Amino acid sequence: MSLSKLKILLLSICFLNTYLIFSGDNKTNELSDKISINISYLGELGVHPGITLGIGYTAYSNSWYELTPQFNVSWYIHRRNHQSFIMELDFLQKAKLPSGAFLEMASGFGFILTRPDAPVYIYDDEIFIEDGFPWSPKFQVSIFGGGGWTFEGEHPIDLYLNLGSFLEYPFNSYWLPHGAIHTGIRYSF
Amino acid sequence: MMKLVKITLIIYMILFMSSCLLYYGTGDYFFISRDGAQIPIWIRGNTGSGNFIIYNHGGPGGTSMYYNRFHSMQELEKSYGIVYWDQRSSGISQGNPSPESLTPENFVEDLHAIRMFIQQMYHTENLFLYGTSWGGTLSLKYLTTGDYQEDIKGVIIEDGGHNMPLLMNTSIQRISNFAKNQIDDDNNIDYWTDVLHFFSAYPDPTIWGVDEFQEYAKHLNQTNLERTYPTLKIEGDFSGPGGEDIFFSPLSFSMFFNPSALLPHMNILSLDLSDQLGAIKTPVLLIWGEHDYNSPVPEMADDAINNLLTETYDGPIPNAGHNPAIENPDEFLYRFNNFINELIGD
Repeated sequence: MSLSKLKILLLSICFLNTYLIFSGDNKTNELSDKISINISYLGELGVHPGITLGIGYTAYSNSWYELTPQFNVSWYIHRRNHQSFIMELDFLQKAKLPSGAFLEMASGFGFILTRPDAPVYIYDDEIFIEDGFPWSPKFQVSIFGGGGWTFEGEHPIDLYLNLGSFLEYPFNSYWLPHGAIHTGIRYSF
Repeated sequence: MMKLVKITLIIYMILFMSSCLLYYGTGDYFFISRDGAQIPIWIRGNTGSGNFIIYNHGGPGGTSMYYNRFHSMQELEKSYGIVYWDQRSSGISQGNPSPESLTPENFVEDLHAIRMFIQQMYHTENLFLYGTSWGGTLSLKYLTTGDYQEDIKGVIIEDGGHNMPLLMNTSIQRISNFAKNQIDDDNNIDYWTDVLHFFSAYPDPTIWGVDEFQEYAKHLNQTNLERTYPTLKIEGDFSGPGGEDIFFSPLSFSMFFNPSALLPHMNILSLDLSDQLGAIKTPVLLIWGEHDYNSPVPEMADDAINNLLTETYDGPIPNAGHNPAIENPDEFLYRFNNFINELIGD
């Protein structure tokens, strides 16, 4: 899939999510019932370790489907390559299956701060000065899909594993794709 | 519920720990930030020797960051400090340099920054440049720029491309002859006929764009795949980056995407340094593989010898193509070490 097609897909998902948020039935009424928090292992290419923390608000829910906008912050490190700090708004769509299993997809956008993972020296006229803040802000979009299991209770807990990709721009003037996994738990109040 | 949380946390701890165990952690690692690019430098090997070799990778758009896994480089690291770096918008180089900064002249300035950094950070007694293919072209362009060749003890050029129009024309001749032989042998006639038609339709590589160059590169690779020599020696230990290198090294997917961003803005097909080589006072070791279809001998070597005044050349290396360091490392190392030892007096 080309990047332009991916952007169109992500925009379409965002429009659909917005439509769902402002239309249809919603069985979740109490504000406290709609809030969830999540913590997950973020593995860029699976093995470059990081962590994601997030908070969600279930905007639409019925017996088989949920739509939850989430605000996530993430950090990961690819040793001797780069570190990234990500702030993202995503839309989590969950299709609930019988016996607690579920499938889900999250697509979002935000920004990403990246820095090389080693000392950075700025070169100017044969002089080198160590860069005290070598972070660069960029745009970021993401799409993840996977599934998991809901452990029902007064406060349900989801255990999930999602695979997907996020892209940063500009990286050498293009959208650089990253493969990644998210696996963690989501706690509903 | 708490048991579930505990088990989950333990699994994540294991994931974190296993992620950190296998990285390539040896040597020194830095980035140089210059003109929009964040350029990685990996210094490995015998840095205490005082003798440093800056390795300039090929391409444009290649990477040097897995070259330390080749047998020949591991041997060189025993004697010298080896400086691996990735050029702007190449390999795993980062940042967001402007398209206007993607010129051979600016690559020379990047190389100068690397050289100055090494000289300031380490106690360099002798500094050498070693360039493969486009890296050889870059090395020679560096020596012909201003007074940059001062304090460079020697340069090793492996299958370089100092005269790109000559290189392309001779390379196309080799591929065309190969195609004709394949057709005569009834081998994949349709493909090789298309190859000949392509070169007939686009006879002047100095005005090629990226599409034509990539088409040429595809045909060149096809000749390399189908060409076999009973004596060709590929280093058995390591022939290229695999999963371990992608997942557990500084390498990233950018090494696959960076060339596509670079090549539309940096066309070197008309770059010709032949007339400038006479200004080089630094000793130059020329190395060519006898079966190189990219930068063919004898044409390219003859042109270099006719224009250089300081060269050492012992003829093409047998059983090797475009990368003698990989394909015939023993002979490559013999010539390489002799050249350096004569210059540093060992």
